[in-house]
Amino acid sequence: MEISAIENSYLKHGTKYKGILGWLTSTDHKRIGLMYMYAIMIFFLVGGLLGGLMRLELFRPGQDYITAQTYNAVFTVHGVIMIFLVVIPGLAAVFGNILMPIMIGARDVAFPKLNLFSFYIYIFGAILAISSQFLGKGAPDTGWTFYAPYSTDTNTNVVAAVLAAFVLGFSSILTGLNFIVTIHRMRAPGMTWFKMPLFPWSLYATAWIQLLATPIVGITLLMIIAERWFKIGFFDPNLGGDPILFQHLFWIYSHPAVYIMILPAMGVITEIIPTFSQKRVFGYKAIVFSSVAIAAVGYLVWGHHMYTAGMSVTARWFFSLLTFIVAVPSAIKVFNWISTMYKGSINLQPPFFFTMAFIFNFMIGGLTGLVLGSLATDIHVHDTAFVVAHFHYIIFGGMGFAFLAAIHYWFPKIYGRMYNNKLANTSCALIFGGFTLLYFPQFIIGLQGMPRRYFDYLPKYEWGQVFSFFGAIVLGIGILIMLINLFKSARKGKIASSNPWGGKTLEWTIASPPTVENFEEIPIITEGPYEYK
Amino acid sequence: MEQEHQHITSYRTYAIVLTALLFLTAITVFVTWFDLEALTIVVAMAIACVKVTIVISYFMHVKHDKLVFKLMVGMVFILILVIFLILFSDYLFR
Repeated sequence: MEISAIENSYLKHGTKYKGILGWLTSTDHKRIGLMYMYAIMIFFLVGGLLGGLMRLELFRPGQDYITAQTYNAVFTVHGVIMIFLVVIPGLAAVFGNILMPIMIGARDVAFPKLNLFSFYIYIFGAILAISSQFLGKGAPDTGWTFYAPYSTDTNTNVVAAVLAAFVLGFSSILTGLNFIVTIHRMRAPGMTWFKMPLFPWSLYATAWIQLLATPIVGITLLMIIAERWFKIGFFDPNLGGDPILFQHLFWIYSHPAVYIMILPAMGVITEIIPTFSQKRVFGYKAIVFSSVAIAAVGYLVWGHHMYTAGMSVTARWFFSLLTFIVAVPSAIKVFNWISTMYKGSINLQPPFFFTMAFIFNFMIGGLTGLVLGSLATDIHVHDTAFVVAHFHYIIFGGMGFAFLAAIHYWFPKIYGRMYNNKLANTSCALIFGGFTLLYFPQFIIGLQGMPRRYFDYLPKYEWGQVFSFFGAIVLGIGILIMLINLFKSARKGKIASSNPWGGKTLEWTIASPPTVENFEEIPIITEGPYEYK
Repeated sequence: MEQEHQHITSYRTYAIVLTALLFLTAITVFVTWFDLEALTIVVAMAIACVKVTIVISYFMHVKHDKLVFKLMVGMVFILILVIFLILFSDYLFR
């Protein structure tokens, strides 16, 4: 009976075409989500290998394997790939696409063809981003932030990389637009706003950021090209421009972009904790409003990236104040997660372990963010390895671990099969241990003064770089074990039931994997999403 | 299914809107002849805001739309205004 669920599912039926063409032309939200996932995994591995190359070079002081110029290119490419191709689309494009329509009781997103178009724009942007590394006069060396006036002067291939980010922005905007319309128009009858699960809520808040913030960076990137090609003085002081204007415009988008990455991650965690605690989520409305508050206040804190850039004192203290305010809704979520677990029937399964690792990392990343958000301490740690550690604790420790929690949570729903629990737990332990070993020493050597983006360093920082190198190896082994487990299980794993974790949201009421149409009949919603007994 | 109210705007209204937009464009060009110093950007943005409001209201039919959509558009305006205000907390106090 269960095998027939796979045979009848979206994995086997799609368009009139069979095989790969059937996938490439499918407008089914689940297939598009999976295509995003495979693409993102490939880019993650490429970005990860570049990260490994940096760690190898930093293993000892002095030049060992690559030149300083190559090192500059490697951290730029690592950043561009990881930010624009992996973490920004990450959770929303993959799990948002696969699960959001099901969780709100819809058969697909509002604009399925636009959804497929967004995927192809993403792929086109990705090709541009990758090719920018090989075309022209060398890979861009500006860092993923493309700071002017260097980005308007350098001879490296900045234009192609900037265009790639511009094109990828369109994919993000269209996905956001699609999700907003879907959530507004296609919720199942009876699913009022406050009966909607919290993952779609987080996607809704995220979609507004995608829609409103992304155009700003698009225009900013075009301004770089205009300055490079036509010598229009936006940013270069020699042409009458203001370099800090670039930083303002860039961070007006790129700080909210951090919330594009982390809000869906928080949504995933909010789905997993009630399921594995078998308990109603604590403070449903507080979580909803904190998502909206993070999205709103997150727009207004961009200047905390620029304390040392030469802004006015008034602007600096104002941004610092706003930064401390945005910490409040983030903390509300953490308290709600812990309160949900309190007196619950905790079921220790791999998704729950990844979730615990997320909360642990997110707390460290969040609290060190306050060190950076405070004007006085930021002067000391600005542009040091401390920032690198903080950033990776939020992005990888937060969004990355939430992605891994999500794939382990929804794997049986997506593939209709179960993975090996023991291997999943082992990989979780290795990934968490490797991650900690890799990034925690960076906090310490950062506090001691190790600058970021330097390919050489004083011998006193060597111990931290050595620890980080071995951490990277452990992390790599953990990821490899996880990938082997998941890929093998997707093909040959034990058949999963439709609701292996005892979840209450709509995706657990339909077959694993779902059919093309998701529901035989659109459900009528009469109660909230987390009504555990 | 709920029957939504369809509003049909007359050609006369569109013609007036077009004329207003062309007139405002002419004003935008006209004010560049004067040196308004710090107010240059304020005047340019004010005219642009009026034009945007007309386009959104009539050509994009928001004037006849539900309150929720008006609120969404209004929210975007407020966001941009707040971003400008914060941005100028740097430029005006340097």
